[in-house]
Amino acid sequence: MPVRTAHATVIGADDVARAMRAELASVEPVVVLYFAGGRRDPRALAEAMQRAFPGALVVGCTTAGEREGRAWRKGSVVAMALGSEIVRDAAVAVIEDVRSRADVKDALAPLETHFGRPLSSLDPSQHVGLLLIDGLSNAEERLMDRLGDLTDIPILGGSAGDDLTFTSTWVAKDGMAFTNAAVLLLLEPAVPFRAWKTQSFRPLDRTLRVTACDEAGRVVHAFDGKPAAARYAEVLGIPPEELAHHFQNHPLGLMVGDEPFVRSPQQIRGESVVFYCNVPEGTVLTVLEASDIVEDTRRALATAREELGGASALIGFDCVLRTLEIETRGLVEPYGTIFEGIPTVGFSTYGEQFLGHVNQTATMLLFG
Amino acid sequence: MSGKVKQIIDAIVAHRSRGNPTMAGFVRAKLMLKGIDPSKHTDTTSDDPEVLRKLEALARELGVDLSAQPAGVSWRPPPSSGPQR
Repeated sequence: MPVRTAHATVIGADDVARAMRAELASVEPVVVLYFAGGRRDPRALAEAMQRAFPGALVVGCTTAGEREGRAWRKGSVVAMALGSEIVRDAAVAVIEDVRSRADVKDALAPLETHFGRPLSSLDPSQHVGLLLIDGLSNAEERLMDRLGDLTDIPILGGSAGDDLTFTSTWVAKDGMAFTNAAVLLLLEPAVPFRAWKTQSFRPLDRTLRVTACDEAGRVVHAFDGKPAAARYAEVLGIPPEELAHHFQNHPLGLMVGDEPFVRSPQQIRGESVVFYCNVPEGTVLTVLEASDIVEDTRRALATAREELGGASALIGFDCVLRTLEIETRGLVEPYGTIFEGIPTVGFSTYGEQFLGHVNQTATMLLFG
Repeated sequence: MSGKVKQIIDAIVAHRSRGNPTMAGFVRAKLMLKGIDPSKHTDTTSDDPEVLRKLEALARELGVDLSAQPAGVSWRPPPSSGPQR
């Protein structure tokens, strides 16, 4: 079989790995991806999963929820084994100390050695990168910016979670688990593929210019020369004390053509607004309005599937803010049907990556 | 000085996209995410020194020959950290 997915709810690392080995036995995997929620030892799990699949690249991370097919789970481990019919070649690199390292070029050398050429010369129609990064690192923007300089291949991914405890998130490869790190899995698919992002918002005809900020701290102090929280509320036409209640449905977007790159507000701090991503000074952001998350996601996947003429496997990274919305609005079942019939794994993320770092977005890789 | 930012943006987009419109869109999006809006820079807009510095550094790393016109920009492999085939 070219691909198979599995899940386990047992806690012990060896028990999880044993269960996965049994469920995925029909695939001779090139790559095994796993996403793990719940209270498990990430180091022990990484070790056990690599032992269970010694011939494969085993890559994983911790989550704020897991998807396998149409099923949404919490506290479980989900996995996907990809055989050579789907992935022709693959290599993985770990980028440690993402918060403070000066550059990442040297960390990516194993990828260049494996493929025998610089990342800058890899064909973007033949290669794709999956990024898993410590969701508490605050380093996603800088890393994606640098990766975007170094290569033209599409890179998508998700920020690891930890069941909303915000204590520590982990990424794993080669039987080792890391914090303050990212893992970049470079794939050469054997089938056509599509990578995209989808977010369920429409732009309104209102903008906010960032005029004072702490970019690294993800804090905006002023919009249009006015205190950020007050100005944001003013543009929404609501009293300032109600602003936080509108964050979910009215985040902001950096518009690239008609496409929003969502910047989600997290909290009000004094007169400032803290975001889930960097917002540089001078940026003009557009106020967004929530649309139909089920229909928008369904349509996006259907479009990709139609372009490919089929779907053999899907890997998805779905913002925890989206999954919270889906749960709160009782949409778990209808949202799950979107993935019916496609071998799918994914997880609920603390941030997503597609060209850059984004929020309240789902990024997906579909194999044809 | 004016127009230099636009020249460098055009050269970078041409270099990275190799004539592929989809890739050109991605390159422009990446510039937007860096805080550089290509649509805001024309042949006559004043060049922001900080933006110019960022773009010149990026062009240098990518091996973009800024002395050529965008349509005929020459290309050489950027400095590499790995083996070449």
